Amino acid sequence: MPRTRRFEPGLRLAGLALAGLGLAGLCLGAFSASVRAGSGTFDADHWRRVFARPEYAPMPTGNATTPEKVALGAMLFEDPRLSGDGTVSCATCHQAELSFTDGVPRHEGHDGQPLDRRTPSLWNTAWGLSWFWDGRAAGLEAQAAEPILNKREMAGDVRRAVEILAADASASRSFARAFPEDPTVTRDNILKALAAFQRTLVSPETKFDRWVKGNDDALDQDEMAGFRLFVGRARCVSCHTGWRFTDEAFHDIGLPGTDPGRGAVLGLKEVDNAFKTPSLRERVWTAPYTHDGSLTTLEDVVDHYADRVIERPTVSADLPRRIELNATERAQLVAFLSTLSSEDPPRPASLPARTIALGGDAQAATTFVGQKNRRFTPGAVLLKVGEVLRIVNDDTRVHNVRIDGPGMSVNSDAQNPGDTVTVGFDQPGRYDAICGVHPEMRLTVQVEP
Amino acid sequence: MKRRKIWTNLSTAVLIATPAATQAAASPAQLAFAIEARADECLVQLAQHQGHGGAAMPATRDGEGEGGAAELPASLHLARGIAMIRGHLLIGGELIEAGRWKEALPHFLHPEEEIYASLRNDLKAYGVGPFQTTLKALSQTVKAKNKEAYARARATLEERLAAAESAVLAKEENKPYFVLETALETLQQASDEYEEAVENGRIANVVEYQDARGFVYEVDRLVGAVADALAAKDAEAMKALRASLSDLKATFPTPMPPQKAVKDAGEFLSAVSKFELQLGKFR
Repeated sequence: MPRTRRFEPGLRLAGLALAGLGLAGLCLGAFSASVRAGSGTFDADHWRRVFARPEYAPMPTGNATTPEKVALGAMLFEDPRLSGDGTVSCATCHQAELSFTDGVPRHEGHDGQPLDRRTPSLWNTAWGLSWFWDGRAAGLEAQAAEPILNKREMAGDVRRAVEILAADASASRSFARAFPEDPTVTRDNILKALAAFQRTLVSPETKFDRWVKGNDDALDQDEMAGFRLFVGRARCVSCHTGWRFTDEAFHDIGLPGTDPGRGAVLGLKEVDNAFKTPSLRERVWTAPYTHDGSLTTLEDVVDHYADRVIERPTVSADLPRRIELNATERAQLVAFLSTLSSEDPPRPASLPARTIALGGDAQAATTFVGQKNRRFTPGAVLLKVGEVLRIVNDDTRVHNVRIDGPGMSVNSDAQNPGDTVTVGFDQPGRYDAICGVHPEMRLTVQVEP
Repeated sequence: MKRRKIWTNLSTAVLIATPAATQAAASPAQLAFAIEARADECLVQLAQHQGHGGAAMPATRDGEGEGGAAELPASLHLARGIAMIRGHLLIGGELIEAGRWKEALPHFLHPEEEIYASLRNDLKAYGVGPFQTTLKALSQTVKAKNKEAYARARATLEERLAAAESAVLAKEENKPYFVLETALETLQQASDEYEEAVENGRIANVVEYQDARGFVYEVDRLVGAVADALAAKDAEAMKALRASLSDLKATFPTPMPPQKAVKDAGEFLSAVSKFELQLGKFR
């Protein structure tokens, strides 16, 4: 597939340099190495090169990624005014808490019926070569328009949305900041901002990336065995290759159904039932799986490839047939797949951290407490009445702050990494705060008159 | 580290049921130590656990967090772990039904954060597929307050748990008695949670209260599933078991705790011991 975009160094990312390498090259490399793996050898250095993360995110000419544009895109992503009835936003289906999916096989459309396909995750879409399950969009900007206009999805009227946003002084200022060369609310600027935001949704490094970087102990025995199966006998790597674990190609993987997928886009019967290979990054958080959401768990996915592929002429030639995998090997494959996801659900840095206010005056004097390594630090604080306690989740996992009376009863809800909980105290006394998720985390707050 | 207080009368009951040689060897110092034992040390071997006749699997020690009571046979360790996970799901589900998603979230995070890791080897030993990703997926749906996704993820997890439970039970000769052993272990965990929850006659830690409620109600379900078999063996003892369970359930009138604690920690443990004392009749 020809590449029509010029890739420029954009967002610098952690990882080894791979930017600019074609996926076709990766596939070729993966294939030759899989032959080696199949013959019993395992070339770790080779696979480390194949799966190394890129150093930069791609950025197309004509839509540079700037902080102002990303901030605007993040705001528009959650703005229901882009929809026809003002109730649906991009985030309705692409929920950040669910790794930008929605947890259901197919989201309910405006007509009350399930949509045709599963809501895809948005991680790492900046590296895509085409978008949607059938690849019908050639760019992220073009992609952004379709769900807004689709009558069963957001059923939006972009001209009306432009008028509404232009009449909103705050939104207009955001557009002016994001597009200083064209400081107006326009259809193109809406789509550019949304695309710029999506390009920042880069999945973080995981356990597997630590192995790729040379840490031989990063994967345990089962995970490593699963990896060897993945690139060896199970032949998953034939399609799931490169650092995102996708060849960006379209395959019929033998699922039941009549959706023609890529075949309808190309007008070719030969590629009916073919859908784009999904990335395997952060998949622990995006069940259910496949274009129709019919596979409930990662275990089901492995079982499908091992036992349930429907034979028909369009089934991908890259798909292994009749893989003999025992229960242990299937579990090892799932163990390996899990290493491609963060230990805790990741939240992209481009989404603003939340502040959850539980009373108190935002302008009042504050005392800070951290939550790193499952511990309130410091574990005891002394405040005066009227002062505010600011508890920052500087850990890598979800926390929660709650105080269960007698003088006060508050519960912060989930506090993601980066989120802050502020608690005001208007009565003197001793208050014991805990993390509801990790009840061994204790914080004593002594409030003096 | 959580410390586990052992009720003196219960210790006495255990000693009565312990072979005379063991009693003779128990020095006053050992007894005193047994009254407050570290949660991860097996200082008291409950009589009914001696010579456990389940599957010939190695004993399992726990890590931190819930389930850190003692070294148990793998079968019982796994069964208790499943019961505790179900207890969390039970209370979490109740809270969701009441629209209390915020309150429910910890109960969907605890199984993966505090229990699953200690079950990993047991699952392998019993040839049960891992379900860590399923637990993670479920907790995400609760975090997102997405009821449809939650229902789906919950159903998936229930299937996995049922498969795990079947695998354990399949290797047990005396299934009803094994279920009772599992129930007792789960109740003892509930008493630990309840002790953490109560302070000066009030529920100071709501999450621990809810954990304990979930575990007790899960035990009620477990016992209910084998009630006919138990009643056939000893109807009177079965009545006593039911009475002790009713007493325990009365500790938790609602998913959100009452203003005043219904029982103190000692009373709760006493009710658990009444359950425990019936177990020998079902061997």
